[in-house]
Amino acid sequence: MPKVTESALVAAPAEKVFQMFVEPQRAVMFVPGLSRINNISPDKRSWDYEFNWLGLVISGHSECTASEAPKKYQFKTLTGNKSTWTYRCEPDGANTKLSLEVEYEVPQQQLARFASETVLQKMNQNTAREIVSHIKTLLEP
Amino acid sequence: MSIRIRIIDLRRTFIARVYSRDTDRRLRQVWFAIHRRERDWAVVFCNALDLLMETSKVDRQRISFADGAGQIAWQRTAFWTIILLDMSAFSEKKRHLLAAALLKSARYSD
Repeated sequence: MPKVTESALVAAPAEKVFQMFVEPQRAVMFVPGLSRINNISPDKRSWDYEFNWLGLVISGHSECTASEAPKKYQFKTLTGNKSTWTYRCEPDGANTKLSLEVEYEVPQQQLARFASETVLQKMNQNTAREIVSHIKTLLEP
Repeated sequence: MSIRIRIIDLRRTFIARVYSRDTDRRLRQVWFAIHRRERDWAVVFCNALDLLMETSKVDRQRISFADGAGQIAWQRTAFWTIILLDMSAFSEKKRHLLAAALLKSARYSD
């Protein structure tokens, strides 16, 4: 599966950075296009999501597959284009090295619409960069 | 469960940003919201600020956050609301991100 990775040094302790991921609804605040998180299970290990791209609403289901505070948080989107999102927090003095890795399937039908896998990869890379940048911005003064 | 695609989002609240002024130290925005039913803006914005890890304080039709350096106030009728956002704390980038996140919450939260 193709994947994109992005990382940044965040001026906050790893425990605080990790708090951004453990509450599924919080993702709406820093993931571009993500409009709603609904039907969160009581253990916060599964939820439904809705993306809104220029008025087009795409919804699906996700499940958390790893939550190792404060080091690693991973979830998978189980519908539509399957993907695995992995956040890692490595303490670096008083700061934290935050990294995001997204592995995704590329259905051929969609690939035709985007013209090339390279274009899709670039879009996903930009999205990952925005997400990491937003988390850094929210956690710093 | 499979992926679902909808063209129109009927749960979305229509909100337009009608005024925005941004200086080195301060961001001010005015939003105009049209809604089919009355919305509890205190709940909407307190939940959003909680997700943004900001402590908020509600005083009738006004919420303060960032130790008073951030304010959200609104004038509500049954079908429309004028919302004022004022922030004089944080970096310029963070102010913009917070404003965008609060606007997103106002549009999409139920």
